[in-house]
Amino acid sequence: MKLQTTNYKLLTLPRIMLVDMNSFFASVEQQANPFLRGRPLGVSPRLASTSDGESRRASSHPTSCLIGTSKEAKALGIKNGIPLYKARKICPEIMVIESEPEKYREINRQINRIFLDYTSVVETYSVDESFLDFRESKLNPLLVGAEIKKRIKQEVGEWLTCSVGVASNKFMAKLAADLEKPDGLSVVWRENLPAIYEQKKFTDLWGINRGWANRFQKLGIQGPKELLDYPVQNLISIFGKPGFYIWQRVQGLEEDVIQNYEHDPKSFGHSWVLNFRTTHKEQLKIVILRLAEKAARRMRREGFAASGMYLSIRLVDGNHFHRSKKLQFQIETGLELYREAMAIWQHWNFQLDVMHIAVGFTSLLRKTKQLELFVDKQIKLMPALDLINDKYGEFAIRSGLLTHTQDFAPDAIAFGK
Amino acid sequence: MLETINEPIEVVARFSKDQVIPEKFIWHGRAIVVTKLNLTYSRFEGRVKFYFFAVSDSTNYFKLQFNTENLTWTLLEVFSE
Repeated sequence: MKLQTTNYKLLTLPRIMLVDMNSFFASVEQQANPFLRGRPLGVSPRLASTSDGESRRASSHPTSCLIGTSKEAKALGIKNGIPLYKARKICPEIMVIESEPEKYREINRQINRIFLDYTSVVETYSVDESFLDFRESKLNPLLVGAEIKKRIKQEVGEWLTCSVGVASNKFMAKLAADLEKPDGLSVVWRENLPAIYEQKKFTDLWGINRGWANRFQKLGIQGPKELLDYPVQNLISIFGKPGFYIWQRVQGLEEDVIQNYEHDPKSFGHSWVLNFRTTHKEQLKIVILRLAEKAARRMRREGFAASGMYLSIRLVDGNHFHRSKKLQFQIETGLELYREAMAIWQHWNFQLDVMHIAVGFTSLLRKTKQLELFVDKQIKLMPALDLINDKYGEFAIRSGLLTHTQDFAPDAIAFGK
Repeated sequence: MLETINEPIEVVARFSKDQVIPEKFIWHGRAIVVTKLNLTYSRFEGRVKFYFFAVSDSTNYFKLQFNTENLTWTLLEVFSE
């Protein structure tokens, strides 16, 4: 572990920290099974169970992507998101196992409990990244960062490492954490940005996508270092407010609110990279219904209803179909979401196989206890159906349309960049 | 090679201050001494909570499951080189 800092600045340490678990999914698997340590390992999405009894040895569709790779695999060029066939081409001996989302969530909870010993303001950005706010604390973030690293190894698992970044806002804390992987502890001040940006492209930076990189390149701005000296008034006159926000971000001038551990979500949705490929719309409708039911269960459990929805399809060539819409009424069941999705679905036709489907609720509202005069029968049934599924397991009671869909859209987990 | 087992086993476990540590289990008449507890986690299936213990000896990894409703242990998977 190297500590990168400037001595004279130790007295004025910035107070926002990012803890970024290194190669999280693969590291958790290697922590569980020591015989996987030190070797290239890939973690694939949960698949349909195979017939030969080897359930966690992956035999994925060739275009399926690895959702996690070990640092040994990364050293060979096998990064997160790589299609399985490419990974096997680079390293035929790579071991690939199925993910266990509940395992990663539990380890995330164990790690977050450690964070709460140091500050009550913790934002779980993703399953492997959390922001900690020390602005109201007298603790030294560098010492806390070192202690957190040690405690994760001692209390959760000795194979688990993290990169800790400390800075004055979230963007720079993420930049700091990225400076050394794995197992780093770095501080970044604004004065460090020119040197850091020497090695960076726009798309290396958090929150700046290819679209913005292209726009800047058309203005002759090749990289973030050049943007540091670019007049902000020019950006505002060309791009409006978004231009200012991007400039502010790259300058390291954003002022953040660290949203506490529990905060209201903006949407509830589910997506699935299919374990089969087809253009057959009737076959795919059942997947949408299952995803819709899962999203609805989660949303109701959190006490929300929705007045918006979205449906998104990705084909094998990377082309997207996406539509979102606001509704004039609230919905809260999977069937209601499915019906709205079908109104969009009927107009789409696919020349190539579908590989990814996402559907979800947006424009969320907290449910009130106000009774309604005219209530759909389905909605009256929901509390009873939810209780049965809570007691006996997900989809213990379900629509008849979802028979024989237990292998569709298994439990999955979201993760950050 | 990772192999799914899903067979009931007998386990000797130690209850320490803040964790449960499987120390030994019997599988196919063979006593396997656990030398390391690598990871512990849990999940609900319906209302039943299951605990999972990733353990190893010098040559194999084992995944054990404890069912808190009927207090039974199951060997879920084995990895051997």
